[in-house]
Amino acid sequence: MEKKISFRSSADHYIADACVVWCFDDRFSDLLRKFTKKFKHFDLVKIAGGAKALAGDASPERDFVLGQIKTSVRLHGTKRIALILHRDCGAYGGSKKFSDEAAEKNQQANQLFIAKQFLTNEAPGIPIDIYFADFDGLYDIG
Amino acid sequence: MSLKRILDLKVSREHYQSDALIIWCFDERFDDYRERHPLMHLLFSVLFWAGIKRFNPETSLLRAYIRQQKFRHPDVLKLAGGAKALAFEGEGNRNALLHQIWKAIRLHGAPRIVLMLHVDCGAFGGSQAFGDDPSGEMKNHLGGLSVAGDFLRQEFPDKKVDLLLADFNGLCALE
Repeated sequence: MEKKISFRSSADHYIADACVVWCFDDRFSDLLRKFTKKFKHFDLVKIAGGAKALAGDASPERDFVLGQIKTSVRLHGTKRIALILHRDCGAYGGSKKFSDEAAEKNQQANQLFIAKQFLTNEAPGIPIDIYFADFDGLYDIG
Repeated sequence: MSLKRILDLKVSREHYQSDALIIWCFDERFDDYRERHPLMHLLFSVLFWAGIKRFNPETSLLRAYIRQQKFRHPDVLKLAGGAKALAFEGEGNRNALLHQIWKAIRLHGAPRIVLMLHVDCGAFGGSQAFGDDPSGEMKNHLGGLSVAGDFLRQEFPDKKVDLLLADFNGLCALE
């Protein structure tokens, strides 16, 4: 084994204010950083498509993502869940798969409602927030 | 349904080629998004480049690694246990993570895959699951990284696969 980096990390455990499910698309990393400033501690589940798998039918991928969120709750007492989808997501085939920008935003909002409903049943009692990340910022879907 | 903009930020529409696909645990102790005050960041940078390596200007191990490797656009998959699903979990989870890796590579063409495990990982039950025996824990993790690395080299023969073990003092690479 070769030492690559010396870096002192805290060994203290923490309670997570939130589990954030976000896409790994690096174009949105600065927005993620800005969004998560409000949390003292959070767990980030960063995967292709963000919350996409949670809006789909039963599948190993959906179970996997659900397992990630449940692990966050079990390990870090996570207090709330934030689900995000974003504009021009490659996991959906990009913006070109939608007829126009409004249709894309509406469909992604619907996907987020489906994902929220699924999670509400699977993780009752934990507040769930849903957001759409666009090229001009982050939208809260109420 | 209502949509209310709560954050303003101009995000680039440009697609990118990824430098590397990094699979890292979501344990915030090994990565966080906090920023130092700009003056503190500058001070740490000066001391770091003067050779005092304990003043790393980055605020987390993952960010220090990304800086060291000079990655411009890393794709980071963050999951409970990092690479654990590739070596220690059932076929369903392994395939789900493999599917994620395929998607990431198809979309952004990363030439390298970086797998990480760390000590005291809650997904393994923490260090106490190994009887607080550091050598037993390390042996387990190194074995798992090796299995995961071999598996990915078979799946992606044209990709370089790096294996990393993190502890509270830094990061080691498995050769």
